[in-house]
Amino acid sequence: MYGTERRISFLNGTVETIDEQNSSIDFAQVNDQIDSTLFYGTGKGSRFEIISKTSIIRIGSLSFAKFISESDVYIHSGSFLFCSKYKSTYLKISSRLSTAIFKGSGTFIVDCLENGGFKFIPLECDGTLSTDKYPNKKLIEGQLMLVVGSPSYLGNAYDIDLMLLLQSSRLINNFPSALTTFDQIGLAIYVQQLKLKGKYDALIGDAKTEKTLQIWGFGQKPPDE
Amino acid sequence: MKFLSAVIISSILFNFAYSQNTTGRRLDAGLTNSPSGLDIATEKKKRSDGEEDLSESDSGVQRPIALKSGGFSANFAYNSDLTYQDNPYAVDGGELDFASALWTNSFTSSFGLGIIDMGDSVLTPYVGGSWTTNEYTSAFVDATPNQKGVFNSQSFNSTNAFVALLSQYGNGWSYSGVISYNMTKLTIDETEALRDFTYTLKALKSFSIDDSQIIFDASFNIHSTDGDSQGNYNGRDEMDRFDIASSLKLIREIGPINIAPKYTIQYSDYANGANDDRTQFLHNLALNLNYQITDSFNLEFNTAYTINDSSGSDDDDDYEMFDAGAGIKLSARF
Repeated sequence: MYGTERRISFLNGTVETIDEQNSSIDFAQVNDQIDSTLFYGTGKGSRFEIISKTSIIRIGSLSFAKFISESDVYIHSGSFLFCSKYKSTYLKISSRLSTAIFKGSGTFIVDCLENGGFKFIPLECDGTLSTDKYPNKKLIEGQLMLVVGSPSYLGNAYDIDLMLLLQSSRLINNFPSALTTFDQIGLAIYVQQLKLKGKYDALIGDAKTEKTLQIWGFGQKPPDE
Repeated sequence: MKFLSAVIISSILFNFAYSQNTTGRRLDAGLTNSPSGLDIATEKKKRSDGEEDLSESDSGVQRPIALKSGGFSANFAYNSDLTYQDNPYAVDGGELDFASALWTNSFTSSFGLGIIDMGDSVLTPYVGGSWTTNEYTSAFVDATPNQKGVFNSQSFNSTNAFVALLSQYGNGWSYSGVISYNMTKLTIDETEALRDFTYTLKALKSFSIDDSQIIFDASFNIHSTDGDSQGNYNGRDEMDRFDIASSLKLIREIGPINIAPKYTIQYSDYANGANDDRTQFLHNLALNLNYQITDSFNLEFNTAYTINDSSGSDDDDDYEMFDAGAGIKLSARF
């Protein structure tokens, strides 16, 4: 464990804190210390950022999460971005059904799935992701992985267009400050472009079950058979 | 150099177009007693067909791509251009001061030999080369029989080969070292008229402003050149020199066309023979219009104006030159 002071450095829209013990609701404000006993919920179009000595966490809209400690995040729904240059970062990520542990340094996005698991998207990383059934999977920048099931395991992995992701991610673009790892993200994009063979006319969506993943096609409609 | 186009990729950062919707939504405290009761937080906009709307996610668009397993890459290109030149032989008066057209056909290849992660930077070694035919013609111009004879005698083929090491940093800067070999042969009698080794150190920075991309570069070049129109190299070493050059290029996409104006300034210092005291400043203002029909097929229009201000040599090497032309480019990448 490192420094425990965590505070809200940026907030846009409505962010509510929910105390499970007495069912009370309050509103979070900029500069509030993070209370590890509370749930934090963001309204539609609302986002906030938590900074600590070693990391930045950005929580997207329609998210519901609990920041149990600096190295333990529970996310029920929605998405968050985590960013740390600290090489010995340890972060336990839990969702409604699944759990994974990140070790190393880097910037990644966690996006909840309807099946209770989550997508893990490393933008730039030097580290590993461990689940119950797959310890120490080395992370590859730009490779989306599905963390599903309980006990948790890694589902399919997909290389995704990092440039497009960054251009469209509100977790990147709708915050006033630039990420401290932006240069490393730029290099990850550069390497991906050097290795690029082609792009599929499809977008990855949600996973309603452990075995299915929505892939949304676009482009030319194939001829009728 | 073709390989430098790869540098541009990393700095196309980032224009942010998503507006924020700050409409709040209250959460029901009664549903927060247990994690299983938190389903209300998953409320998301549903489309009429019941499917989830991808735009609801803050994480960003996730488009699958296919990547090569290794770091080896190969690029091949063919260019064919027809260019009007008002001063093709770069002279200031005299019998060679007349307009011409130049038809060039160029075959280019370059190979990336690996991608080496250095932590703060990525190293990529390259090798490559090109072969180009340059044929002066009387297209666009009225040429006398004598001038057509000059066209024939001055047409040439050129060969280039290079090795390079490129270091790309995440902040948009890149540094490269290049050794290149260039050789020119006159077409008419296969005379080797020029042989040049160039050693280059270059720094390049690419960044974005609004919807435009700006590329700045500065380079130091040492030329070891043997040049003689008769091919016997009597005047060898007179073209040895060093250059300091810098350029600024802007790239902007307007509709389907990329527009790229570029200004280059270059200072050269010669050291040998009749050029012992020669120095020169060269200014070049160029404009490139590029229309990409497919990923591998481009139409291009190019124009440039060059001023060369030379002093210290036995000959008058001042000249001005205007070029304008168009061509096609076919390319493939593996």
